[in-house]
Amino acid sequence: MRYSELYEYVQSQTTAAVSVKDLAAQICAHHRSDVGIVNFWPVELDSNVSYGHIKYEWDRDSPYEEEFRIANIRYDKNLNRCWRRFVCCKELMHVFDKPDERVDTREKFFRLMSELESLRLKEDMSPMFYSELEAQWMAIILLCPPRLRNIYKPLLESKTMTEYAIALKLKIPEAAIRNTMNDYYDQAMERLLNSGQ
Amino acid sequence: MSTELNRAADALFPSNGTGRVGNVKFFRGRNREVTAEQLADQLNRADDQVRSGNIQPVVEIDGDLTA
Repeated sequence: MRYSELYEYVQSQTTAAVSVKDLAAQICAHHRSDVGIVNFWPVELDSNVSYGHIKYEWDRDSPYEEEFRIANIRYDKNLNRCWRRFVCCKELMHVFDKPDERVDTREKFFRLMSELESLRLKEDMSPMFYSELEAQWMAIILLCPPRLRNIYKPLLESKTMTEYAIALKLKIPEAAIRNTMNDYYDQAMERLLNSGQ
Repeated sequence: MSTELNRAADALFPSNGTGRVGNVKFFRGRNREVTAEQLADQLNRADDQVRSGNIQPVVEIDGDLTA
């Protein structure tokens, strides 16, 4: 399954909010060679440091079966429902990471961790670090696809609704609404849908 | 004593090649100035909690979307 196909699925729905559980189910149903199971684990984390993370681990049902990946997404159990959904959706988007974006060696792990603690110039960003930015936009677009954005953007612009009220309707963090309603949304969406992921 | 970063790397990618991890990514928290050591510590703590068997995966991650 490509990201663009998941986007088309979300765009075709008529729900008032997009279900992250449903996104995970779609990915497992159509992306099984890469993701067989998605687990969402509520753990004690320090939200000052991290809201969550994902570990992809290979497993198999039996020695005679092909291996598949389990996407273990751990999130801070004290997050409210909007943040929990956004964090889990962003981490879920890493199923679409290209091979050079995946942290699958010790060296790549150390490289990503170094980049997460320091500023890098664009030319020096690794594909792994760049995928962290991409995944946030992928989540924003799925949780507020154009069919929903087209409803709320005019209401925000006419000051009929606030960002907070829209966030409550979409069940995503208020902090995400600014990106969702920004003009850059269309550019990001076009880039991601045409990226082949 | 190994740092948390080294502990995390050893757990994810053991030197004997038995590792089964295909990807690891993070969602940074409120503080933009976290260290790699702090992030690794969070990963290690989460591993310990999951391994303890005291928590179960959440199925209804969205809660009631009609509410």
